[in-house]
Amino acid sequence: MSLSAAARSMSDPSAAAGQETSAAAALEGALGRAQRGERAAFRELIRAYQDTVYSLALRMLKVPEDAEELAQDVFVSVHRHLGKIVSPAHLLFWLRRTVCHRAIDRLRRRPSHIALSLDAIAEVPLPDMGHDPLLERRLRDLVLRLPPMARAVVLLKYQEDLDPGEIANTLGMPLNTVKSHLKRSLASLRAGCDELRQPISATGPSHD
Amino acid sequence: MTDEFEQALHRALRKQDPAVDFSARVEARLDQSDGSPLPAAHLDSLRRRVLRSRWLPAALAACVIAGVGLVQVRQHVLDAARANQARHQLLQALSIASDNINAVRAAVAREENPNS
Repeated sequence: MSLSAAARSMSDPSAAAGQETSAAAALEGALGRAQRGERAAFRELIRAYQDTVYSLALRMLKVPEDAEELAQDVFVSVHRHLGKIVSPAHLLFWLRRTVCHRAIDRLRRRPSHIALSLDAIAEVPLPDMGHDPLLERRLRDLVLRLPPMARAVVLLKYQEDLDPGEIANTLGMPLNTVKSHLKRSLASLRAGCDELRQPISATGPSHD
Repeated sequence: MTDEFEQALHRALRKQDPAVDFSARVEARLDQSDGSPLPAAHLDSLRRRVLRSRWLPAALAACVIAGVGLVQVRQHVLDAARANQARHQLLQALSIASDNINAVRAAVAREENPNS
């Protein structure tokens, strides 16, 4: 099993216990060797966690070039602080927290994002939906329109499969705030999807 | 409990790998900077150095304050010694003047009463 798959299985509760053990051992070994300065081991760690870091950066910042730069920054930073990392789980926690906080910092310095007013959106009934590429694209666009902190909460929940307590720990915010962000963000995303499912005639013709 | 909407959200937000040479670019950046990781012991010494660097300005300020205090105390001692010396000189001058006045008064008395 590759280290990348090993890293994924660590956060997948449905993975077999034996696989988790070997995954943890492989990552533990790579971490130890990287801490002793072995560049190849650090490369293995990058490959194991690059999808997590890059995806969080991309879904936070939208622009692939910015996401790649941020992901590189995070790995360069973790390389300098490897001595403080005590386990692969700690490394994953550190990476998630760092990429989220740095992305939020960048978004705050670049206030050009479009944020929906979550308070103005009421709870809408659950639409009937199957596997739909257009819907998934729409969802990704809607996630990008969430305010930065709410976006980070949604990504940690639905990309990283963290529970609200883990999200609160990662982002350093109260548990109730995380739950509130999740509830209002889901309402916003559902409302956005509901708009997509409205018939074109219902939105009225355009008058160009 | 996850519903269909949340499952769709899971699928929409599934992880995505960066470009194939991502790790090579990270390594290139590590090579540009100081590429060696900081071991825990080094981090501890760095932390100590930072703490020491925080104490250094405080220690310098304390030295300056103590130095100024010592100079002022020395100045005070010198001033006191000079004042004491001036007091002694003044008493001596008054004593001499008193002796002279007594001598003049005795001479005047002798002139007024030559028989006494």
